[in-house]
Amino acid sequence: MASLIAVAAQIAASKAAADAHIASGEAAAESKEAQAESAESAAKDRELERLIELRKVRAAQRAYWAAAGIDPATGSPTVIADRSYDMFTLDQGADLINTRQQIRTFNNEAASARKIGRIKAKGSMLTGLTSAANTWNT
Amino acid sequence: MALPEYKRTVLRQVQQADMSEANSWAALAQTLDNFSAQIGSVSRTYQAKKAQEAATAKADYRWQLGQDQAQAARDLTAKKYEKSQADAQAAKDLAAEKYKKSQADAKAARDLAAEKYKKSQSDSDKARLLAAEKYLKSQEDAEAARILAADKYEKSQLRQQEQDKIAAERRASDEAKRATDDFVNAKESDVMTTLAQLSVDYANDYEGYFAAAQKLKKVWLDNDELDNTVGMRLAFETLIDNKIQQYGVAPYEAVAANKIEKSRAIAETNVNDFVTDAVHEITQFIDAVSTKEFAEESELDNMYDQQLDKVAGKYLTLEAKLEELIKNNNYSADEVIALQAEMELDFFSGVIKAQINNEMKNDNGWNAIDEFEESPADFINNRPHLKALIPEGVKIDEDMAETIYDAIFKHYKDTNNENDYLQAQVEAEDAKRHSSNLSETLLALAQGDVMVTKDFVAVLRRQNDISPEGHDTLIYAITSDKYAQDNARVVWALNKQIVDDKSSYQDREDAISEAFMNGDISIGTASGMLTKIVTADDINKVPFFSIGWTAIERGLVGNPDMMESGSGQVLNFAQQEYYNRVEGYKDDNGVYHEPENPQDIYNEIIEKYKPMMVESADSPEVVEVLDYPTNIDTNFGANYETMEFNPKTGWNTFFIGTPSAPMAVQTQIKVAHLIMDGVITEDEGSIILKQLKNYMQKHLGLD
Repeated sequence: MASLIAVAAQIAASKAAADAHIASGEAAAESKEAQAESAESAAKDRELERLIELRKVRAAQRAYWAAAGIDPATGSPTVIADRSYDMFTLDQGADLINTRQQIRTFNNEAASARKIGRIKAKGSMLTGLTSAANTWNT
Repeated sequence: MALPEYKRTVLRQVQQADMSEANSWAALAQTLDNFSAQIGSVSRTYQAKKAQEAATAKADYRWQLGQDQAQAARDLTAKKYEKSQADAQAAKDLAAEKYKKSQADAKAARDLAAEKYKKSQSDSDKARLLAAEKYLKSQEDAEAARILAADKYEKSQLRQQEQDKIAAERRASDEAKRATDDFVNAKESDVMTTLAQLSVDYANDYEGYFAAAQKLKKVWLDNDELDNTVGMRLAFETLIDNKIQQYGVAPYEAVAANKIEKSRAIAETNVNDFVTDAVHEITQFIDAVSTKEFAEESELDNMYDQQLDKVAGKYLTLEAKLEELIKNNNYSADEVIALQAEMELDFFSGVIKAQINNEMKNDNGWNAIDEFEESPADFINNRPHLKALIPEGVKIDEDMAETIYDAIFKHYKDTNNENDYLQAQVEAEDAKRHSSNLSETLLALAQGDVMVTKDFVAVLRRQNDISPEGHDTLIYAITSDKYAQDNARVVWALNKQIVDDKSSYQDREDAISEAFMNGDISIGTASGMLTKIVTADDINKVPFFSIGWTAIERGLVGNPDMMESGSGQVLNFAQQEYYNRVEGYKDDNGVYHEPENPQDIYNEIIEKYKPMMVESADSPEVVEVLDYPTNIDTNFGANYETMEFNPKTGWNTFFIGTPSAPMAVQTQIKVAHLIMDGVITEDEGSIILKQLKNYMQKHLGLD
């Protein structure tokens, strides 16, 4: 009779531990998803700063050429202006890649946290059942 | 103020490895490991319980089996005891019977032994009588043998004494000979070593050698030990005399040879000096004839003839001196021929060289050399004064003429080469200075320096600070469009020529000037290349530089003649980076980078630029390689067939994103994917990218 009670108690305890693991995994996943959103927002901020910088440069270039009496619409000025724009697009591309990698990593980590929670929950259940079996055998 | 440009701020980052999936698998593995351990424990507990039950059953069975076996053993022991008692009684009976039989056998044996003893006593007496007779006989034989042995002994003693005497005499003789040989042999090494050293010390002084050897001989013979043995002194003295003579041969011959050599050297020097003096006089005579100081036809005085007789007699005097020299100095036949040939060659060579030197002064030297090479005989016969110097019957043979020609030709060729080399160096220095000045002036012009005017350029040319071609280039630069675009193929060809160590400075400057005036390169490019003209020579000397330069060319474009504009630009970028890194350079931030080894970097540069060759074959501008993500969904936005372009707003429905939030980079990647997959052509892709660029410029407020 005592063995039967001990077995029931062990199974109940393992069920509680499994629930806790699932909740823990969920909390960690939500935290990672928040970080992913934050990375995206930061990328947008940086894009805005770059754009402001590009505009400043282009404005300064036009002022320079105007002062020198050079037509900014022909010859080398167009090449230089295009080069600034191209540098800007390269920055955009590099930042896009960096940000995408960060977001992908955070999302992967969130999915992984949930998965690990479920695995640990099942592990707890299995531990409870095997402990109960041991108790019954002895 | 420098022209502001947008500087890149974002670089590709290497992200930390994404271990999420790995972590989840690790957690699963850990959980399964735990479960495995736990289920193992359950299994072991169950097995232990079953084993305990089986052990209890087995122990019960064994106890019962033991009880049964013990009872059976007790029964068997009782039966064995009864049988052993019966066997013991039977054994006792058998032993009693055996005892009785043995008593009877013993008695019979004793009776038989008594009879045998009686018979043996009778045989013993007979044997003792026979032995006594044999003893007497043996005593008599022994006495006779002793007498015979004594005679033999006496005779052998006499023979032995004679043999010992002969052996003693022979030993004494051998001993004396061995002692003499040992002494002489022992001293021979010392004598030979000492005399050999003497022959070296007095290698060129036979008298000194002989005197020193005689002193040593006296010391060696002053030894009483030599008289202790018969014949030893005589043998040793003979040895010393032989060796003194043997080792004296070298000094004697050396002295003799030295005397001959000195005598010959003096005589040959004398003849040499005579030839030199004769040639000097002949030179003066030829010069005098050339300046008409002596005239052949002059009848007023006979100075010409007198001088001619005088110098012509030099040859006869030379022959007489040679004859005397040979007679007095014991020359071999070969040595005589060689010496005579050498002296005559010097003499005639001096005569011919004197004539050609004179012709050189009159700017007819090379013609005279040519004339001599054509026909030495004509060369001499065409000049009466020269003909008169060579006695009749004496001929300058072909070998001699060839030797004289080679010596003369080499002499004047070397002189001429030195002049050419000097001139070439001066010209090279001028070319370097011209290129450097042209580069600086072009740079100043590109930076808007008002000092660079046509007059200024004219002054530079007058001062020989720039070449005529440099002058034309500067005038063209002052009066023409300064914003020429670089032609990638021309830039590549010029770079190739600049690093080609076979091209001269002037060739390089001419090529750059021509390209600039043809509008194929800009002022800035021309100025930079002119600067490189000088430094490129140092780079060229770096080991493996040329190999790396060519390897980049082959690695990127294979056949440069077939490359397109975009590829050419990439190749120029690659080779420029290679050049800078081998030379050492400052980057945009002013940080200096040390020169690198060409072998270490050219493969890296090829790999870096190779992807650009594929993707940008027709792109007019290539700046940098970027590894864009490949997982862009090309289904976003409209496809090429259904897209709509709004000329007013510039928006194309092909673009990814919305008009208010266009996604330029993603759209560029979409275009690249569709071109690679063959969905759209490169021309169609170029149109979309141009539209995208225009739209983004407007969208970003840059228009």
